Amino acid sequence: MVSCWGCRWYINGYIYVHELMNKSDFPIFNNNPDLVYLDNSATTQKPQVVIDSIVDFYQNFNSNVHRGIHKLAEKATIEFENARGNIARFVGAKPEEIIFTSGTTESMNILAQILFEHFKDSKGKKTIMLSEMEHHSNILPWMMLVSKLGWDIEYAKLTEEYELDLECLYDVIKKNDVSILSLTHMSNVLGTINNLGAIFSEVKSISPDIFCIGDGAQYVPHHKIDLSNSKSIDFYAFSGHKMMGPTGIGVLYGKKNLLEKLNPSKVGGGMISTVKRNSFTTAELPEKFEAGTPNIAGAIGLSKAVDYLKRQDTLEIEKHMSELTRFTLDELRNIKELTLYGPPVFEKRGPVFSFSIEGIHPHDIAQILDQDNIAIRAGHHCCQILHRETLKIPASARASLYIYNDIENVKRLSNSIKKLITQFKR
Amino acid sequence: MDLYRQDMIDHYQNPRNYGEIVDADAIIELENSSCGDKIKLFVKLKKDKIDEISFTGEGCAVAIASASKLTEYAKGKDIKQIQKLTTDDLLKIIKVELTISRIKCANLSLQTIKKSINSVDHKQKI
Repeated sequence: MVSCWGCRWYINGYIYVHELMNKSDFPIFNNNPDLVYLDNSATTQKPQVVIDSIVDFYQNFNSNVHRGIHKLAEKATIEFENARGNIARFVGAKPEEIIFTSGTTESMNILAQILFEHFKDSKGKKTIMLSEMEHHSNILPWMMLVSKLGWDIEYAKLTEEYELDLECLYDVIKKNDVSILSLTHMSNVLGTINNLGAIFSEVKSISPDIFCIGDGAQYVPHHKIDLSNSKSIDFYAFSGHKMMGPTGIGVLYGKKNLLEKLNPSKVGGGMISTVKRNSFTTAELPEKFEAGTPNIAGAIGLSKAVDYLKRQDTLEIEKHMSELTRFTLDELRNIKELTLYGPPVFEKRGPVFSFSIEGIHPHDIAQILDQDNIAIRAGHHCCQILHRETLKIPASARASLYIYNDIENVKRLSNSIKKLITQFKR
Repeated sequence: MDLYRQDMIDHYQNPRNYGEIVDADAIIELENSSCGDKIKLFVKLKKDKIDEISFTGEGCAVAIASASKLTEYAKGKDIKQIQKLTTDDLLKIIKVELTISRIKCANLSLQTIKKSINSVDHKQKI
């Protein structure tokens, strides 16, 4: 099948817009022509413009940011702060609400430490509410916080269709003194999309003072988000490398009025206004929360990835991804030996497909697919609670798609799965 | 060499020495927490030799086939010889080439065998 920009073709009754962006923009596909990369929930591939921007920084204006007088420092500072502004606009936030971190995991850790500083003198046993579909990054920081404060932790259950059991969630919030609610916007195993804006609004109508936190690691690469219009989302975290940016850069977003009130947990260079022998005052937002030299090249690279995403037609991308999701669901459902996890309705999920096959371990599935140059992931995907308690399996195999994937990739996947099932047939 | 050739799949689907030894001298279970593979090993010694050996467990084809082939190899061998086995020796015994990420799957049964031998009180046995 010839691929071309925006050309439409029909297969199995679906209309396809093939190759929204040019695959040749991504050197990895030029260097590995037979690669079918379906491990995008773990990390995405990088377009040449992102790679170039990192090289450009180190080759032409490498310098530390802020308080430099010389030309290079000036240029590095401008590019770094422009990156912050660009990323802020992309998610509908103010630049001072964007705190650079190394990724979602660090964002959640920093936030938990900031909230420890906030709650450490408070009295009474409170509760932190999460859900059974959370990634370890959105569980462990809260587990540590709970143990330091002597609080409780509660997990919202899932429905039979792998969605959040909202009645259960609201019920726990009505009956307990819940202070923090942190939920994923899109599950990295089930693909389930949680409507955080609506859920958090409802929660705040029950208990207005709850800090509502969103884990956007999987959602932001696929969907437009407007944080300033999502009044109920207090904090939000996402990673650069899952949206074509480099590794080691991510964002912690916080509402300005909250960030102004809260104290930093990480201290050192760059986050102060004045330092005396026994005291210090903090810098303004966002530097207040960014101690130490930031990942300057990472921020610049992520900003380029945002530019690359912005150049695409958002509606076309969403359409491409939802059609691809629908097609993949149908392809995998047609394999009768395969058990697919996640919401059955394609509108309620992102392009993440975790599955198991009776009698074949996920690691063997991943290894055999790799022999056919198809990269998927196998394991618990940092969701042991979900696997052990909800899915009741030790591990699953997961194929996750991104904008450069196409229908051919999915067909290669389903054909290889069918082949390996035959190989293992007794 | 194809990892998933028929003899590997055969050892995975029909593991040799699978089951429990009721009067075992040692029973040791180890787990690879990253993938959920579990091997429970039962061993009975006669002087310094492995008299009976069996296992139960669940895991990937590499983990189960390795346990199957390694228990076949170990039966009747001197315990010192088993204790000296390296990962390279193991790969020769099970006759596969593994990528770095899968070596731990094969190694689980070797570790379990060594640990179970070490846990037997030798003075009592001799």
